[in-house]
Amino acid sequence: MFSRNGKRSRSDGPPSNSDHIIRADAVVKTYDTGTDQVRALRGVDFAVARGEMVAVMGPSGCGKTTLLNCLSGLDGVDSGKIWLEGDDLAKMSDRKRTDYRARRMGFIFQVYNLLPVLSAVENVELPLLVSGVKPKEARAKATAALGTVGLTEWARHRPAELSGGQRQRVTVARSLVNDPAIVWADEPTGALDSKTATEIMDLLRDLNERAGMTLVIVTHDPGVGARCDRVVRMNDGLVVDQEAAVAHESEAAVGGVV
Amino acid sequence: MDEIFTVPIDTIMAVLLVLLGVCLLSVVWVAWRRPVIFKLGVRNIPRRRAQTTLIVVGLMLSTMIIAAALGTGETINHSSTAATYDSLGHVDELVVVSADAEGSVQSAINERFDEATAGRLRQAFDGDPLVDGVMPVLLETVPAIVLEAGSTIDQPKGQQEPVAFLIGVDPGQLENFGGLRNVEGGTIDLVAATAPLEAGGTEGVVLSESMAEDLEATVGETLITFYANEPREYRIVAIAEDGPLSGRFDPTIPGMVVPLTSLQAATGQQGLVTLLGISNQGGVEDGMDLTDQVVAKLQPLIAGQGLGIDAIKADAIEESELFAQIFTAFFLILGLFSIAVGILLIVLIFTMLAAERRSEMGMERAIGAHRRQLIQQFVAEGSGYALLAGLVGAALGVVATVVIAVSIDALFGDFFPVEAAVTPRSLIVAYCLGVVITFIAVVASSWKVSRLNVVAAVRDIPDVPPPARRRLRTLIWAIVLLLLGGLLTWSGQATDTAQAFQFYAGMSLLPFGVAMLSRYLGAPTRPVFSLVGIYLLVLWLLPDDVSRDLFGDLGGDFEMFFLSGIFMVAGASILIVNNLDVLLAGVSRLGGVFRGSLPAVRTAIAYPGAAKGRTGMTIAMFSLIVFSLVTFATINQNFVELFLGDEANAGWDVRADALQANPIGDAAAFRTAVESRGVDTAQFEATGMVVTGDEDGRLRIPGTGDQEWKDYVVKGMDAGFIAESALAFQARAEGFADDAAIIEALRTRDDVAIVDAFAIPVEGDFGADEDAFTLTGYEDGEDVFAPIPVEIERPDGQVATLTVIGILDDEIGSLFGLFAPERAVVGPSGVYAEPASSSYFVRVADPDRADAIAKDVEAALLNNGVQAVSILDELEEQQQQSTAFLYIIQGFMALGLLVGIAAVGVIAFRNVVERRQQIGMLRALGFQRSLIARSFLIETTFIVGVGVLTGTVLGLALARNLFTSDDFGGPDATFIVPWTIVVAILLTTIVAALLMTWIPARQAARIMPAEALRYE
Repeated sequence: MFSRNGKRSRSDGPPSNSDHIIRADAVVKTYDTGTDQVRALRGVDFAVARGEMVAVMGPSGCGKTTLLNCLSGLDGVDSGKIWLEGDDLAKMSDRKRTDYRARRMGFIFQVYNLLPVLSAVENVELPLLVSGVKPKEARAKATAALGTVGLTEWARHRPAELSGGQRQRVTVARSLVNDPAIVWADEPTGALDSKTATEIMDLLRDLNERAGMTLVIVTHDPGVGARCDRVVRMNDGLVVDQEAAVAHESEAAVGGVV
Repeated sequence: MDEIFTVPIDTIMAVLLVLLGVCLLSVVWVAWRRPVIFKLGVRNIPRRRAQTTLIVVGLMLSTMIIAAALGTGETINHSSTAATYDSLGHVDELVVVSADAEGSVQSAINERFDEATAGRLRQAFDGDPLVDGVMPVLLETVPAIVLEAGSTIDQPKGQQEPVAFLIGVDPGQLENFGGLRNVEGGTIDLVAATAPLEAGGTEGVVLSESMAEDLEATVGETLITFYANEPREYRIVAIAEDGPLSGRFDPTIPGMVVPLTSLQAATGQQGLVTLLGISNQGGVEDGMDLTDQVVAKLQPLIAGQGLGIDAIKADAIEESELFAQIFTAFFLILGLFSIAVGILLIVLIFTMLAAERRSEMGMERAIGAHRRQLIQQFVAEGSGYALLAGLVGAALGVVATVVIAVSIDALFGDFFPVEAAVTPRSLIVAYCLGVVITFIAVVASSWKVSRLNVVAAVRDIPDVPPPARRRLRTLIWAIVLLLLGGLLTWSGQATDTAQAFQFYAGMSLLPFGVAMLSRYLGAPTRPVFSLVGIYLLVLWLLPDDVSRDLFGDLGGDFEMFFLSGIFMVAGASILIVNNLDVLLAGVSRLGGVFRGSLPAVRTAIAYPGAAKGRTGMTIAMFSLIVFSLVTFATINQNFVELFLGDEANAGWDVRADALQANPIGDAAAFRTAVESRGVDTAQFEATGMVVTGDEDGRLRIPGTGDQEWKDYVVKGMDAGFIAESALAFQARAEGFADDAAIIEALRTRDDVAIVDAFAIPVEGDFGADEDAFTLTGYEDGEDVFAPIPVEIERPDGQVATLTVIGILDDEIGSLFGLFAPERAVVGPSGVYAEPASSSYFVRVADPDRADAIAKDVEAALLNNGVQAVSILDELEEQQQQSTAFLYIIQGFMALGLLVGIAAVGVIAFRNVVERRQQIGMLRALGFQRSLIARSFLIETTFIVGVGVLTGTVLGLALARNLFTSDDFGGPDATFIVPWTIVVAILLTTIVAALLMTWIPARQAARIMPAEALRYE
């Protein structure tokens, strides 16, 4: 059931309730566009174990980004339940949810969403400042986080002065600077060339394996899905399938259970 | 009001209507020939109502300012003209005693001449279509008391008026002058009404309506007047409408009327009159049109008889027009700051609108639209805003005019009633000018924004022009600015009368040309433009004497205030914007202070640094308005302190003014008189007397080329006044080592005089009276000067000469005129035979009791028609009026802050849209709603705060320079910062700006993160 490094094997099925860091039951979300009602989520059940790296895949408009937004508390739901680390999201006020995001979550988006007016290190330290960490300590941690992604010498540069890959690395550094329990990534490699995309995924995978970080990644890219522990497929607002990702040859080579 | 800056208003209106027509036609052409482009432009107007409202508010201000300035001028003109017509009625000219053909009733009020002249003139004009009435008038200035029940003529008690006009008129001429009417409109038969009820009984007097109100008098009561110190009793027989025929031709002095023969008999002046009133054919207003012809016909008829003609109505109307023009020019120049800020706002708005629609415009260009079509689109939209804003601005301009009129009336209404008046002509001018200014700014901005790179616009990436094109543009600008700056600088120095405006404008543009050239040659931006900013600040803040040494004496007027503001603010803004990162780093280092708001502070101060153009313009807007407000307030406050200082009253506490109808005598007689009537003179430490030889003395300086007589009051000081006054001099004639030497000369010689500081000629003295005497030949700032002979015209036409040996210090604000020893001014060897009036000065032991003592003196000397005041109270009251008036002006100037606040609102709303996705990300990262809102508010506080502080510092610096220059207080003058006003301006501006940002800040806070982040 567990591979030699103590992590769950990718070939295992969905985790049991007691392992769940994220759990959603029968989540429904509808958007009113003024003329139409769009049912983005039509009763989604979803769960992620602590330390798991899960890919959510599906065609455009299937609701995967909506699911990510709802699960992370960025958006509300019409019905259903969502628990994060055992806490019912619906019972949290906006203030509490925001605070929870600051302390326990990281976000990586396709369109980097770095503040263009701040330098790389200033962008990375923002979540720490929001959490009340002292400026000096925040700066030190941010610098260390940039070091983790190999961008120490680019700390004082603005996003406009960085390449696409470098900007995404900064986003990765920002997402993990506050030691989050969960990192949400929406198309993290969508705007990158294949080489850079591979580098980013290597980074994420490394963080997942070394730090046991839980990652939920929304993606179109099968290659990204293949790097994850499990792939959840969606279509028309529903989860239609979930399966263990194809194991890497290297995992198989070291004797992981397939 | 017919002219502005010497240009006829009708001409201005015609030109503006043509320009407006051109603007409108161009828009109509677009709507007709390019309907799609037109619709693309105007559809934006109703789309974002809040933004449209803000844009209209910002744009309407130029029109409002212009409308208010013109309206105020019209109001002053109307009120002044109305006051003139009320005061003079049908009287168009006066014949008075005068050595010259041109007479002055002010100078002749105590003179008398033969009444027979009236008959001769009437005969001469009999049947003449020019003149329909000649009224002989005897005028005396007397005190009046309405006897209350139980009091007697010997000890009169009741409502009192120390000074009133009692006139005697020829009843037979009344109808030619509109007739004497009672308050119900009925005709008063002056002879019948005032005839004694029985032989030897009391004669009647007709009071003017205002006098009856002041004295609470009714028909039937007894009124006592005094003449030659003898009481005379009258019955009040009627109350007439205010006007010249009832003796009320000065709004501050009540009047009453009796038949001419009655007053002549009562005053022992049979057959004598003070003046002849001439009524031209026509009504009150149009009769004046015949003035020139009447004067031409009258002059030969009175030549050689020691009489002159005072074209009183025409002169007064001309003065009203001039006064109104000065007012309008003054308000327009002050309003220029707000108009300049309004133009900045237009540029800012259209730059931001262009940024918002960049992708749309890029796509339009990609599918084949030409640049000019983009311009047409923006112009269509901009015209919509301009036309609407113009209407709103014109309407609000009327409101502002009414508010200003009401405020001025509240201050000065007792002697100058003001009633708002706005003509359609001025509204048309204001509307057209406002719309045309806006239109031009819109076209210029549209031209600039149409020059976008199509690909960059479609992809929404930065648009960086190719280096070669940038360099060429830089070179072109460098050449243009260097040429323009050089030309202006040269022309400012080259003309016969060196012009400060051209010179300083040129000297301020030159560094921009040099900077652009330096950039072309590869110099980095920051040091080059920082130097430009520093240069401008140094140039405009140079002390006056240094400027004169460097550049010579240049003629400059009030418009220099505007020019200084523009370039100083430009310099400061350029310096700040090019070093914003240094400023922001400093703010950022205060991180520990902000604790929970630190993330908001970080983002708040980072955004202004990234949008330097927008930030710089907003800072400049607030700087400009605050600069003008602070400079004005500071100079005003310092002048108040200067004129209300310890030296202001020259050592005297009470002044009692007496007219000649009931003379008192010298200072000793004055003291005796008040003592005998119960005033405790033990409190009097000193007394002195100053006589007025002539309120409108005619003076000139021989040998200066200008031999026209100029007006100035001529006064004579008795020995007590000379000895006891605390006279200090800012300049002394050669040969007088100190102030004591001058005072000794005044004591011992008959041929010397001193003048007050207002006689010093000032270059470019805005609104100065050209007929007023100035000490030509004296250079402002000189401590020592060659004695200046001054010729004074005697009433008989002969010339007397006195030599000016001293100029009073600025701080002595209570003495005004040319002062000489009494015997040199009045008496057998004086310029004038008799004084026109006398003023008695008293220094009291307890200055705090000055007001009470003044009241005692006035009550005691009521029979002599004395008016007594505490000198310091009088100065304070004048300063309060002056200060209140300056507050009105400052309120007018502060309208420009509305533009800045509108700009803040427009920018904030725009920022919410631009940063929507970023706000979503911040919310995702954990920014609470309140932190998002706080970030916006901190950003506004930072930008507005920098702008306001910059304006404050510049305003204080310029005010200090001006006040301590030789033209004003001098280098040793104590400079005061009006902290209350400065802090009030600062706080009000920031609070208003924050309120304006509140709504967009809340909008930003309410953005749903998921919605904002959605990009699929």
